[in-house]
Amino acid sequence: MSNFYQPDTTRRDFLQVAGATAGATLASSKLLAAESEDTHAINFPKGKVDHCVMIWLGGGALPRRHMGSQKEG
Amino acid sequence: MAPCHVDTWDPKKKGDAKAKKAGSYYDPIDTAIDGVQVCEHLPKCAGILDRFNPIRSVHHDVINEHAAATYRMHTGRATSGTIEYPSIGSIVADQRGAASDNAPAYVLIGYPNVTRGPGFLGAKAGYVYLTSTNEGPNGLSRFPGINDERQNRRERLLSRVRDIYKKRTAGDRKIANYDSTIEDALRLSGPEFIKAFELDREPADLRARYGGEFGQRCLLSRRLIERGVRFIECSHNLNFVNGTGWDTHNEGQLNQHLLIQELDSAISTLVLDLEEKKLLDRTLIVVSTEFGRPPEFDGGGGRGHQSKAFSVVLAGGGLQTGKVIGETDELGKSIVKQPVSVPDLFASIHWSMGINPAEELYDGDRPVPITDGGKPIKELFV
Repeated sequence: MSNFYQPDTTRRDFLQVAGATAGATLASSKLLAAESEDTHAINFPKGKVDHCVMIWLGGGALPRRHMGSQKEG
Repeated sequence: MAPCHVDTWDPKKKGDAKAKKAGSYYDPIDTAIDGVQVCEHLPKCAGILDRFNPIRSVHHDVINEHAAATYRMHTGRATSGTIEYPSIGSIVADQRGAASDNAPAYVLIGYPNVTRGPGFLGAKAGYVYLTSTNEGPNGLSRFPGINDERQNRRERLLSRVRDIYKKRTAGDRKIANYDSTIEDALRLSGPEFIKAFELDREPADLRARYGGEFGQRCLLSRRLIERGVRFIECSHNLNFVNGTGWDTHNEGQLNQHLLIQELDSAISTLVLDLEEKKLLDRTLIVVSTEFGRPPEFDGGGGRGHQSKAFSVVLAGGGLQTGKVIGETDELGKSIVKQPVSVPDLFASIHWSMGINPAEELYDGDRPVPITDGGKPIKELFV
């Protein structure tokens, strides 16, 4: 870092350091992305279900109070 | 659940409502899964519990408001001021569509509201609904006296009006989406789909085994599956049976067993009926609710709300059934093993249906993952 501020730093030195830093950053982010992907990967097969029935056991406000009906929802 | 988990799928040491001693309200019974018990009012489900996966460790953080908890348990997310999230039924409808041209993707047997709706996915991912098995689907059933010729005349007139409006609003995606939904509705009001609602075609003894109105809803669910409906929400909220439905504060507790018994008959018959018709492995049954109830009794002998530990039960679906997921403490107040978040529960349902829970949907330009970081429960699949 301190090299950047020395008066004798050449354009070539600057590009070498910047290039190496960018390369390291890129490699590191790819590594992190791979790790993250790995962490979130689901490593077992998907199901093959065609239908879903969700039985809903609601305990909320009574429909007959709020919707004026004697029928249940 | 709105039903108390310690009074149904996760029984504990018996309490005493009068003495305000925390615990289950009923005795436990053994089940088809070794070492696993359920409440005494679930004997039929107990005998076939090897077809089930009770998940005893579902949790979220909404306690006092039924509507917000219901939204959480339908969308997997907290209510938002900026995004109207789609329900799980609408996501399945969007991702898988109907299994047949003659059926809608999503049917709601119960009262309609925004919690069950398609949110930003638009009308195409919405539901067809009915509130009574006797009356058929709202908006699709023809009034008596409307014969085919009269219906065709009506549709021609409607079509002309729609064409004029479509030309005027050309390019509007919402209008196009809505118009396409009308097209689907007109197709579904034909005799092919409407036959699904003719429950009197079923054997009388089978109808009797399913039980009352809730049981008939479960039977209708099976008939809808056979016609290609992908996702059905079947509501059991028989308020008139015990005066409070599953919201068993105070005296609502006294007749809770009537609800549990009706649930037992209907679900066990649905499981066995689907199994006999070779549909159980292709159909996932999810017994869900907005939250549970604590083991303590309130001043009137009923129970309050509890969302930090409650049960959701799965059955069929080609899962590795006969396993209990998660565990609560000796009173059912806290989770002691394998907590299951709502996103994880939803991810498991989606994964069973071949849907990637991490896939992104779009609210306009904004990407929204199907679940909020949910991961399927591995033990259900391997």
